[in-house]
Amino acid sequence: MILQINFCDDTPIYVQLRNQIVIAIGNGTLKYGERLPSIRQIAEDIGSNPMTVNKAFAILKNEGFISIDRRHGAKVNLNFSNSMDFRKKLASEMELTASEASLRGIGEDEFLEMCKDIYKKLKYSSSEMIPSGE
Amino acid sequence: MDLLLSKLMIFIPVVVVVMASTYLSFIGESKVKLNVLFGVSIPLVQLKDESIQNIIKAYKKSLNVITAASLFIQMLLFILIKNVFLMTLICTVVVVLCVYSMSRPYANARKALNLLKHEKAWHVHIEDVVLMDTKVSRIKHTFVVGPIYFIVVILTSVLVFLNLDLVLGVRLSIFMICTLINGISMGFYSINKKSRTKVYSNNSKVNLVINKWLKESSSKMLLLFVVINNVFCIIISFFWLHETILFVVGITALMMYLLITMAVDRKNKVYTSYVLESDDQVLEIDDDKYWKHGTYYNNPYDSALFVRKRNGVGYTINMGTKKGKMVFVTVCIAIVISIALTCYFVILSV
Repeated sequence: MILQINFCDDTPIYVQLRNQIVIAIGNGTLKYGERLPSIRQIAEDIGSNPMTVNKAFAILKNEGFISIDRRHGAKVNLNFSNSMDFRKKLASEMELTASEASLRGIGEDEFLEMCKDIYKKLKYSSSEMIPSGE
Repeated sequence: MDLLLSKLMIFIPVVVVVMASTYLSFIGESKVKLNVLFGVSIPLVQLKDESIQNIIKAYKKSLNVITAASLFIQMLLFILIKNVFLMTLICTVVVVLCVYSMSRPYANARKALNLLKHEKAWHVHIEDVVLMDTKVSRIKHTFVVGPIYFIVVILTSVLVFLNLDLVLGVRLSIFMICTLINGISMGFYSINKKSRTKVYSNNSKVNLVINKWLKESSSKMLLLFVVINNVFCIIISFFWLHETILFVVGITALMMYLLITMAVDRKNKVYTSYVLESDDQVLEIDDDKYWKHGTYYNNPYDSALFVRKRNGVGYTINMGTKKGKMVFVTVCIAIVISIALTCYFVILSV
């Protein structure tokens, strides 16, 4: 995957990293079990502090998008929970996005169509996910 | 007269090589590298524009005229000046001036293209971002030739001690200089191995192929430099007392370094263009604002210490990083010290 980090952007670097990795897993650019570069290597290559990358990796690990092995580094993982907490978080984020869309004159149909288009681009559908504990 | 003739035999090829390499380097600038022409990022779709073609034509014409005039002036000087010392001094100054004059068409073309870009509002999509291909970056250290080759070659430098007729102190000095140059080459090898990979396309395979080629060729070139350095140091140790041979060996070594660097750089550019031509996901990146005058790179967001030059051959220092500034200051100090020492020894010998 191609990471694009914008140092002039208001979004923190660790959030940019986290979001791009999640999108790459979603659209299939990063495949299940694929190894990611080490924290130090990413930090060196993008010119940021290793702690910043570590923070992004820690979030991704907690969310279940990656697993970290001491010997082999970080790997893409699809064994994440589909918990109520996430649904609440998603609903809250969707509320904000839908409100903004509505205020900017985007109708319900158009909004849903956009959502569908984005979903079509994703490689992993909900049925392919492996809920944790199973 | 014989001395003058022998010096001319050495000096004329040097001037020809310097002029030819400068000309080839500048004429190569009229070709598009990725989406960069004359150090200006242009969207790929606009490169066929008539205004751009006119700038290229004008550039080639003025470069040809200046090169021809420079060669004529130098040949005239070779014929007119009979004194060896005076000829060396004046010709050196003239060569420097000629190289400077040859750089003017480039500066003018760059200025014209920059104006055109702003007039026509040509914007390249990606700005202010640091790109990284995770697949390529993860295995970048495997692209270079192994350090064992360097160690084996470097060990051969002990052969400078074989000439037992030479005083031990001189042999030791040659060995030290040889080791110093080998050490610098090893330093560059290490930097090349760790240096970050560049992203050319959204296609990871393309990035992998190009980065592997570039890193491998750079490390092979450094290995070749170490071999040449050792061979010439061994020759010097055997012909220490023959001034003319030493002079010829020194000039030949410098010319070889220059020619090898140019050949490798050219091959790299040809290969990169060849691979990118067959790719439809090439990334157009605009980092013009980090290139001061199209030559000096100052990007605080780029962690790379050395980056490939936009114009000419080789690499340049990223002045936006602390390490880059330190390297620049060190190089400046080294140049000042070497010039001072050269002047001191010349005055001492006179």
